[in-house]
Amino acid sequence: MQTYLHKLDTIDMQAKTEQLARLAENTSRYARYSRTAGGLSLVIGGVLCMAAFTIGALVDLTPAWRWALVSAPLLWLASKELLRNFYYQRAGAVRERLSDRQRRVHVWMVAYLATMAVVTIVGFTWTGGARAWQWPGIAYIAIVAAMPLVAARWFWSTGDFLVGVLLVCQAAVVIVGLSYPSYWILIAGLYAAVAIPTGWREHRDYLRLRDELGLRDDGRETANA
Amino acid sequence: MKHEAQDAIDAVLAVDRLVHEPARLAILTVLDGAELVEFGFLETVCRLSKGNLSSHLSKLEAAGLVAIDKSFRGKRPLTRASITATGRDALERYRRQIAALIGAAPASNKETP
Repeated sequence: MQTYLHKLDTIDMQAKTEQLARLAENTSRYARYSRTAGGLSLVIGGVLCMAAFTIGALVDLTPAWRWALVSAPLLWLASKELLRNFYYQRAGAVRERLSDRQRRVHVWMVAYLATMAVVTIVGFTWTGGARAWQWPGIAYIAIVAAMPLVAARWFWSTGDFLVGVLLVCQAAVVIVGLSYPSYWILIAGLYAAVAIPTGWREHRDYLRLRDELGLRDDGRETANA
Repeated sequence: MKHEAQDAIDAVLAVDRLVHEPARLAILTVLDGAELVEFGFLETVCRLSKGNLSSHLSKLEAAGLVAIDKSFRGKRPLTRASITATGRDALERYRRQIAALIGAAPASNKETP
């Protein structure tokens, strides 16, 4: 038996076991990018957030500017989807298995937003009366009501949550002809200062991951079979 | 001593050969790291040809270790695989067996060359 065990290359087995553990971990990391498109989408979100609040506070908002600011969250979500489908999932989609903790945090974040949305809508309709249900009040209500649904579908990290909520709130305020005061530029700047470096770091991590998994030269065509 | 040797032999023989095969082990490991994985990703990271991967997936599916979902994205076929609870148990059992085997091997064999 000793001889047989000597024949088993335990060093090789140990190395392979470690490699496999690394492969499982890398798959989980890839799955996270595959779900959130974190990285570049956070960079874009940070830039959009900063630009939207600067324009909202400093520029005389013509209807064209207002529509541009209202479409900022849609633009961000569209960029997120495009990045997810055509960049971070180029080697094929992998659905992340969420831990109980991740799921709990996500549910709490969405529940918090849903509560805030209900409070905001009740307050708005209470003070606005019948006017709240006419244009543009109805658009405000629709945007606020959509916020928790958007969060449930797209906001999978704290960065997404902060940037996304800020952009959606800006869209809701701008559509009723108002805008955030100029000190909000500082708050948006603070968010952007967190989101942009975080997103860039995540993106560089993805590039390293892509090399480790050997995905560099693989195109979308290999994703299907 | 004789008992220990017999136990070690039993441990080696008890290793699940379906899981032990390197390609299938890699497939199960990747699937264990996610909820659902597209065929293309498996093909790339496991360094397997389409035919080889299909063959291994079929064996794993027949044993109930993985579940395969076939559909279409537009006109292109889309194959996705996921590990089942049985598959996860089998992989975990295999990992424990291998860890025990490595632990049972003589110390001289574990040193880095």
